[in-house]
Amino acid sequence: MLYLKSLVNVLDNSGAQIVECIKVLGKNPKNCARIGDRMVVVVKKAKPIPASLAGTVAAQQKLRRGDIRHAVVVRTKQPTQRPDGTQIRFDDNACVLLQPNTTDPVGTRVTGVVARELKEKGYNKLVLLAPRSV
Amino acid sequence: MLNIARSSNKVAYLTAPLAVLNMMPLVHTRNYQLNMRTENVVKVYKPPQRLVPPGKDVLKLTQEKLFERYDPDGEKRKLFSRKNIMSPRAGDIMQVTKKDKSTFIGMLLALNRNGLGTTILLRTRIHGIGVENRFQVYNPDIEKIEILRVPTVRWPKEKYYFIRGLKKYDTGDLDALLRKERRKEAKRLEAENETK
Repeated sequence: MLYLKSLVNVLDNSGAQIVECIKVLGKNPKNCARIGDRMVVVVKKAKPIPASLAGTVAAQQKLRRGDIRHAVVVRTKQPTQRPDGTQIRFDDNACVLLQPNTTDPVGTRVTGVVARELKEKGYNKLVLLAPRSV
Repeated sequence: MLNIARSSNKVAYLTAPLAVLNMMPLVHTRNYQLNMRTENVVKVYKPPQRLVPPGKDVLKLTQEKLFERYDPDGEKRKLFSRKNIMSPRAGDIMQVTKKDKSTFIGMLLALNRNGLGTTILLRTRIHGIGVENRFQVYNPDIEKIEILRVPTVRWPKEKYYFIRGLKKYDTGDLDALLRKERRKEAKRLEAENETK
């Protein structure tokens, strides 16, 4: 249940740590983002870029506060109903940043579990990168 | 003459003078009967076979039928029955095996007994994140439910929702913990065999 202004953890090595939802894509304005939904986010908190990387290409690729990207929701606190009758619920809200108009993640790594629904929605690469899907 | 008339009208008419007969009005009578009453004819059929034998509760009977359909062995019913002393309680560590052999291990936070709608809520911690899964017990997809471990000390609570996010009481990565224990046991058994 992620709306405008909700803060979400980031699960990749793109440099962003916490992002804020500014738009839920492909939905009614009243609707919220659940697992597998896409949204536009703005970076609120980013990892500081180490001094050793300053001026290199790698430093330019890292995200900074205020950057805007697309993201897909991978975990929610709100229980998600599955077709087999079970409900899955995680302890936090988390997302993975995506390149615009694709299903490929911005980073090269995904840390932490993701929900199994992503595979059905076409985010195969993301699920493969994740250490485990529940 | 009067006496005769009293005893029988017929005789009276006969004995009466003709003038009297002429003065009497003509009476039209009919010798047949009209069927004035219409009868509503209803066909009577044989009663169909009773679905529920007399004296039995419909709700209970249907529930029994459904239980037999979704739990033919009766193992799940036996495990979750209120009469079973060893039935799961909050705090137990349980494992759910599905038909596709995927498993989920977790601590039981809540058991909601509701007939066929009985559910269990299992919680575990995977890669540092708490994951909770609610299972429908009588789902035909679920092959087996078993209790792996029973705690030595129980908190006096029916539901264990309070452990969420509390470092002192929260579950660890139960899957990893059990794997580690199994490895240890295997090693111990190997060592025993070597000494023999």
